[in-house]
Amino acid sequence: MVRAVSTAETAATAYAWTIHADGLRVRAGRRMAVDGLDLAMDTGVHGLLGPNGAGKTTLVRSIATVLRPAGGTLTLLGEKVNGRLDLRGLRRQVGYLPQEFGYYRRFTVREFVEYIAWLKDMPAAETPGAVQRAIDRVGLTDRADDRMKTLSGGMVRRAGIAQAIVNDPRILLLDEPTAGLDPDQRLQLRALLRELGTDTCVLVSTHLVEDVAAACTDVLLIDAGRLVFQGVPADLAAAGDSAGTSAGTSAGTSDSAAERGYSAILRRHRRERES
Amino acid sequence: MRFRILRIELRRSVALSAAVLIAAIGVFVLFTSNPPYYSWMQLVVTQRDILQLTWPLALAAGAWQGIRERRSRIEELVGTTPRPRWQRVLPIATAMAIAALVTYLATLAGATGHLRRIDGYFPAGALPLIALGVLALVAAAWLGLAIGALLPSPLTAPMLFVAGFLALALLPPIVFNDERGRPGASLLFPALQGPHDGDVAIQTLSTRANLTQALWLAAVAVAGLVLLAAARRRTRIAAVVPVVLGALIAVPAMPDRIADAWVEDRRATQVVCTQDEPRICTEKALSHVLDDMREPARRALAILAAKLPPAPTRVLVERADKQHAADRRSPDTLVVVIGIDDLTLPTADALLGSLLDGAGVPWCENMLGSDEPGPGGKAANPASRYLAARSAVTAWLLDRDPQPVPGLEGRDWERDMALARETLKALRALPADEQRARVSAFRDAERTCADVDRLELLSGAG
Repeated sequence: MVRAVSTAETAATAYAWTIHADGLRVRAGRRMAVDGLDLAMDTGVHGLLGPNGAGKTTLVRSIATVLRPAGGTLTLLGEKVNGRLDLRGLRRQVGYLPQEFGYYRRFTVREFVEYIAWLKDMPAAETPGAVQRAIDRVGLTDRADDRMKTLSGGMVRRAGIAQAIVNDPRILLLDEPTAGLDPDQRLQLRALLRELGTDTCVLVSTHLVEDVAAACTDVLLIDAGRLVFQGVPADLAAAGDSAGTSAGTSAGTSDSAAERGYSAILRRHRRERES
Repeated sequence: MRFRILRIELRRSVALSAAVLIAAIGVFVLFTSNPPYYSWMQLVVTQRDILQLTWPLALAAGAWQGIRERRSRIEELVGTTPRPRWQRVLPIATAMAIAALVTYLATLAGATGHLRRIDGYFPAGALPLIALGVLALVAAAWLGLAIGALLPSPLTAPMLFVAGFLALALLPPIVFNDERGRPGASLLFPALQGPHDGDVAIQTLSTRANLTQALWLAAVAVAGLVLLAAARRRTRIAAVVPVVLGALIAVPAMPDRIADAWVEDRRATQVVCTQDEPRICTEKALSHVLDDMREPARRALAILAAKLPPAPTRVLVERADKQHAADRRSPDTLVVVIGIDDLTLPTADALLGSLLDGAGVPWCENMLGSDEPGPGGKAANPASRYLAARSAVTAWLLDRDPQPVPGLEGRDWERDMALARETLKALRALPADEQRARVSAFRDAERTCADVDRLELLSGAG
C-alpha cells in the first residue's frame, strides 16, 4: 500500500518513545483503574492483555485523551498530556476505536469515515482518497456506499477500524477490534495490524491471547492498574512452558503456550503482591 | 465549514424530512383554518400567526437532531478528535437553518393554492414579515439543537413541543392584558397577529416593529447557536448575553401597543390606472381586478354613452370600506365599489351589473333608512324604495329584469323587486326622451346624495 508521506513524518523524531507512561495514575469514576503504571512503546503492534477490570480500557482511554491522568506523567509523541495544553496537534495523529463504538446509523460507510476524517482536521483535497484507502484496507470496498445500519456486527467493527486509520495516525488505539469478527476476518485483521505496525504505534487491547501471539510484536500484560509483563510473544509462550512443567496446573492440551504463559504470569504476580 | 460535510448532514440528518413534515402541516393548517386568502398580506400575516404551531415543531425537530451524538453513543469518539466543538456543530446548524428556510418558503408556496389572486398586489412590506418568519424558525431549530444536546433524552423533543406550544398559545393572553389591546412587548413572541381593525390588505407592520422583532429573534438564534457550540459550562452561560442584550434593546424600542405597529401601506392605496382605453383606475391593493374589468367597463361606458349622455369616460374602482365623496360628484367618472375581501370570483356579466348599478354612482348611505314607519306614520327614506329605484335603473340600462343590488347580500329582496318591476314598467311606457330625463335626474340626485325619494323621480310623481 503506497501513500503520500509528508516531510513531518520522515523527519527524525525528537522523542525517545511514541507512548511513554511514568507512574501513570488514571481514575475511572471513583476507582483508580490505572495506578502507577510504567510503560514505553514505539512503532510496532502492542498487544494489551489483562483480566477484566485490570485497567486496559482506562489506559487506552487516557492515551486517546478522553481521560486526564490523575498522577504521574503520560507522554505522547514527545508531548506531556497532563497539563492543560492544546491537544489539537496531538489528536490529529491519533486513531481510536473505542470499546463501545458508536456511529451514525443513517450515514453510509464512506460518509461516516469522511465525517471522522473531517473531525480529524484532514485537508479536504486528501480526504476522498484517504477514505477510500481506509475502506479498502478493512475490506469494506463493496459496502462503502451502504448505510451503517445495514452492516453486520463484524462489518461495523471494521468500519470502526477504517475511521481509526483514515488519518494515517502515529498512534492507533484499538479497543477489542476483533469482537464480532469471524475467524477469516480475524486473520485478515491480523495481517492488517502487522502491516500497520511497520510505521505506526498500534496498541490493541484484547481478551484473546492468540490474537496477540499471532499479530503482535510486543505483549503488555497489566493487572490491577500496573504493568506486570512486557516482552515479545515468544517470552509469553516461554513463561507458559516453564509454568506448565513446574506448577502442574490443570491446563488442557488444547490451551496454547501463550495462554498458559498469560495465566502463569498473572498468578505469579498476584502471589508476589500478597506476600 | 466544508461543503461535502454540509451535504452529508443535509442528506442524513432529520433536517429535510422535518422540513417536509412541518411544511405539510403548515400548508394543511393554512388551507383549513381560513377561507381563501383575498390578499398576499393576509396570507403572509396568517403564516406568521401559525408560527404558534410551526415554531414548537421546529424546536422539537432541532431537539430530536440535537440528541444524535448521545443517541448514537459517538461522544467518546468525537471527543478525541482535534476539531473543536464549535466547528463540529456548524454543518448541522447550517443544515437545520437551510431546512428552516425551505420549510417556511415551501409552506408559503404551498399555501398560495389557497390564495385567490396569486397575481394580486404583493406589498413590499410582506418581505420583512416572511424574512422574520424564517428567522424565527431558524432560532427555534438552533435552540432545539442546543437543548437536545444538553438534555439528550428521547423525551426532550416531545416535551419541548408541548412546552413551546403551550407557551406560545397561553402565555400572551395571560401576560398581556387585552383590554386596551396587546402591548408592543407581545412582539417578543414569534407568532404575529394581524391588525384587529381595518383591512390587513392595505396595512403593513411598521419598520420599527420589524426591526425590533428582527433584533430579538436574531438574539434568540445566536443564543441557541452559542449554547450549542459551547464546549464548556462557563461558555454556555455566555448564551444568556445575547438574549439579555436583545431584550434590553428591543423591549424599550417596541411600540406602545401592537395596534400602533400596524400602519397604512401607502403604496397599497396608491391609485394605478390602465394605460389603454377605457381608462380604469383603482388602488394598488385592488389592481388585480383591472384585467377582468377592462371588457365590462368598455361595455358599461358604451351603454351609458348610448342611453344616458353625457356619459363618463373613465372608471374608478373603489374599495367597499373607503369611498371618497369627491369621486362620486365627477360626471366624467363611473365609480364602482368592490369588496376587497369578496371571495366570489365575479363573471363579466356580474361586473357589468356592478358597474351600471345606480347608473354608475355608488349608493348613498343616507338613503338606506329603516323600512318601518316612524312615529309620524311615514318612514324616512325607506331602504326598500331606494334600492328598488336603483335596481330599476340598472335594469333599464341593461334591458333586463330588475335584480338585487350587488354588495347588499342577506336582504329580503322580494318586496323591493316587485316595486322595481312596477317602476320599470311605468318608466318604459314613457317616451324615450322622458325616460332619459328621469333617469338623468335620478343620477344627479345620486351624485349629491340629495334627500329626495328616488322612486318618485323615476315615476314622475315628484
